[in-house]
Amino acid sequence: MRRRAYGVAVVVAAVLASAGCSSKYADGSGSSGTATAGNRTVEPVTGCGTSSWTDPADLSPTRTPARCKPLTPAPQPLPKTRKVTIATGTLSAEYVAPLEVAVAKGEFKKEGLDVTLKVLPTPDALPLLAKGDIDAMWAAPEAAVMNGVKGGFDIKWVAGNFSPDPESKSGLWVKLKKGEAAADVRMAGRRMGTMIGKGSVIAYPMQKALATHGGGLDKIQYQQLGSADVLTALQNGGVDSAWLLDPVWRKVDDNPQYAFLGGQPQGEPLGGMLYGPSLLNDDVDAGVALLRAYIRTVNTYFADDYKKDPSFVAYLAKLLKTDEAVLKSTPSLTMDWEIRAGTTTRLQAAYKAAGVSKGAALPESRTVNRSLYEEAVGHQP
Amino acid sequence: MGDPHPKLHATQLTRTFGRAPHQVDALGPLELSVAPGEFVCLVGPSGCGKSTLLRIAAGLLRPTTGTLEIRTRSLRPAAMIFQDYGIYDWKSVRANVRFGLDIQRVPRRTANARADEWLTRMGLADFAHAYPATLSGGMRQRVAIARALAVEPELLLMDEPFAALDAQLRTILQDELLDLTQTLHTTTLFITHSLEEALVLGDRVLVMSARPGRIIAEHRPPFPRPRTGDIRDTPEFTALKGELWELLRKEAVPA
Amino acid sequence: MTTIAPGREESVLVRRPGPHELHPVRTHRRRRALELSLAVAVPLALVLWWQLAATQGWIDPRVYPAPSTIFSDGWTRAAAGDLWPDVWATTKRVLGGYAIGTATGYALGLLMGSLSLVRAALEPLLDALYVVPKLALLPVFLNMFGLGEGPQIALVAATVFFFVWISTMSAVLAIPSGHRDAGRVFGATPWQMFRHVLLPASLPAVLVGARIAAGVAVLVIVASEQIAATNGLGHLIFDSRALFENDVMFVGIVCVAVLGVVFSELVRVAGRLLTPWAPRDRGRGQS
Repeated sequence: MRRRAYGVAVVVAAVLASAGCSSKYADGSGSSGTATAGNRTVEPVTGCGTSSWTDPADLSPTRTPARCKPLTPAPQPLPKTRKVTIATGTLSAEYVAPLEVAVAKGEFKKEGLDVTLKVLPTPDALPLLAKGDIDAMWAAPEAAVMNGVKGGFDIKWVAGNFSPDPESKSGLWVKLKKGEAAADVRMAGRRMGTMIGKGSVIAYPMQKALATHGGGLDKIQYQQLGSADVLTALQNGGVDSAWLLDPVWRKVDDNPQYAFLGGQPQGEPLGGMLYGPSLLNDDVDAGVALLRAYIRTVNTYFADDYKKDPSFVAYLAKLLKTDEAVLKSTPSLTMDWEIRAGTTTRLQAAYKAAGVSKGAALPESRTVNRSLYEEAVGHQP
Repeated sequence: MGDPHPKLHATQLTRTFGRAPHQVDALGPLELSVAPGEFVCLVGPSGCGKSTLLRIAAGLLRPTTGTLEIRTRSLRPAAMIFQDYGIYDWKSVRANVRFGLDIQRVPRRTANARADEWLTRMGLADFAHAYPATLSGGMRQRVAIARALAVEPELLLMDEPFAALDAQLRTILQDELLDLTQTLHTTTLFITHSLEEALVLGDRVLVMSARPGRIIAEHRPPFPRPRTGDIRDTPEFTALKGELWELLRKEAVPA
Repeated sequence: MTTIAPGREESVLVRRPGPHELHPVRTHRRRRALELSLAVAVPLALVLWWQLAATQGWIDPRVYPAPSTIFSDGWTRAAAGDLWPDVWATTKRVLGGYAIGTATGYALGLLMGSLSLVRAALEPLLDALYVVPKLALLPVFLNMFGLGEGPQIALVAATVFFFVWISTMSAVLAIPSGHRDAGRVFGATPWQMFRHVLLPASLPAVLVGARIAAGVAVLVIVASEQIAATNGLGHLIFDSRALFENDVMFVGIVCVAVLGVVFSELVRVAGRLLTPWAPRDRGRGQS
């Protein structure tokens, strides 16, 4: 009995002592990228000239996005075919079209990549990406991603997706009270319906739109609803404001009762490709190849107003499993694979204002990596 | 026999259970007359309808044909003591004994006094606030008896009350009951399997046939009142017991 | 049965007193001490093991935070006053729904157990509804009560109702007829029968159902808060999951677990007070 108690005490002491020792999951710093920028040689790429890269500091809303000639950058197949899994929130939204077209037209295969697109919501995909179980996410640097990086995971935003057309009115819509004009709308104290959670990137454009109308992210009452319910709630008064996406806003566009207060900023993509440790560190060649195929798809099929071509619209409608009329009702997105300077800083400020993130903002060096898309278009750093 | 004002009188009493073609003739036709203050014991084989007769007397069942008349001043003249599930586990011993009085809305103070009286009489005074789950089988049946007698019933019905007790306890309780009934003179119908019990306790012993039960014999144990349990040792007791057993054995053998 | 081993010498087998007989008090005290220390030591050992695993990297502490992280995070939250509003919101919903569900379930169970006509009328309907997952009814409740506390409480109430209703009804039906006979012979009115016999006789079984329902109520509220609430522990858990804040998520999980245990125990104690005659269940050395 005595001996047993003694043994137990020794074990307990050992456990407590080792609690001080560190584990292989070191805090904060994340595994240092070995083969990223600086260690790789960047060759120039035919077809991608000076217009293939724009200065990230250029935040002008009328900036022409980077483009190469169609069918460039040319494929550089990997020595061995590699399987890649990309998680995305949906397969029927227009912003996923470049990836789906790339798969359908075999652009990834030309690089030696066997790409599978998997539909997974961000909360489910993010831990998998962080652990390396999936290779990439077609999503956005939302608050959850920032928290993951803060927590020590190696995740970076490596390419942009799109910025909206000037004609697009996807964004913050309000139901006007009697006799109210759009400019007079005060947002403070209003109830907003949104399909997207508090930690979403739209917190940033929302904050901008709210600021000019006397509201802050913390002065609004959010009501998270399904996408079908958001419009219904706005129409029947359940909420008095809503963030409407393409093409839902079309339904209230010509109705004087509703006013558009602002949407995603022009010329600044807020989402795109996120890479985890597998493509950032273990196999950078594949990481570059993936982006090369994506960029080539944009240059070939989405270079400018891709909805001008009715046969392409028909093709897209079939691919996205949506209605042609729905596609034609909204203007083309401006596909943009680049990432503006300071976007993640502004996003993090918005998350802080919304109360979904705490502590100091992460510097861009920990959240963004432009070197991969720069290498794909042959831009020397 | 043939009292002009019997306490209880059953005429052409029968009871069947179920519907054709699975109908069971449980009882009768039966004639019975019980004088006021008489202690009548019914013995018979299993399933002969003794309990059915008692339940008709208690008002829990109606006869299929015939009538059972009770001469009484109140609507609820009977008190019944069961073999088990009689007293309530969730009431204290005292509350159990008081139960019949509570139903009759007797004022609490009076009811408590009467209950305490009976508790003392049955030797349960120390257990007044205990719960039945903590009592032995014998104590529980004492509580049941106290409860039945606390309402001072005009008719006491007892359905094999000691069957679940061991032989020694049984003898003790028989003696206690004998003492009690000789003081109270309550009209009683007592059902038992045990011939010995019937002969010790009863003024009259009725032997019933196998199903459907009818009365096939009637005896008056020749032991004068007041009696004690010592009569068990007398030769007359043994002889009478033997005689009745001969009768009963024929009925008890399955057909 | 004796097996006779060949060649074995005949010897004397002795039955003698053991430690329990020779030193009853000391043995009993030691035994109780052992039981108590096991009850404390086993959970503690598991927590320490988890702590060790997290610090040594056997499990990824970014995904499965160490107990020390969870505790300190929870403490900071609680000290800053951030934790209590969520705990209170969830508790309010659970208590409200539980009260409504228990009251209606008990009433209906008693009614249907004692009156066979009512049972014939309602049993098929309720039996059918019993198997419908109540969480599937949440959209219906959202339509009926709008947003706010209504659907949450309604969901908890609906879930608890069925547990309590079924255990009450079966308890009343299971009352031995001998109990009812005794009451009838003494001339009890329906109300007296109810008050003296049916109600107390069914109570122990009802309380078992009530205790199960207590645990389930907490389970249901967590799921429902994920979908239709803007505060509460369930909302905290799923919100922090969406924001990839694992330590906060675990704080929420631990709080919910504690809430469930506390609530269940409260119901048990209440049951003990209501049924002083019922035999104690033998957990934890006969309390």
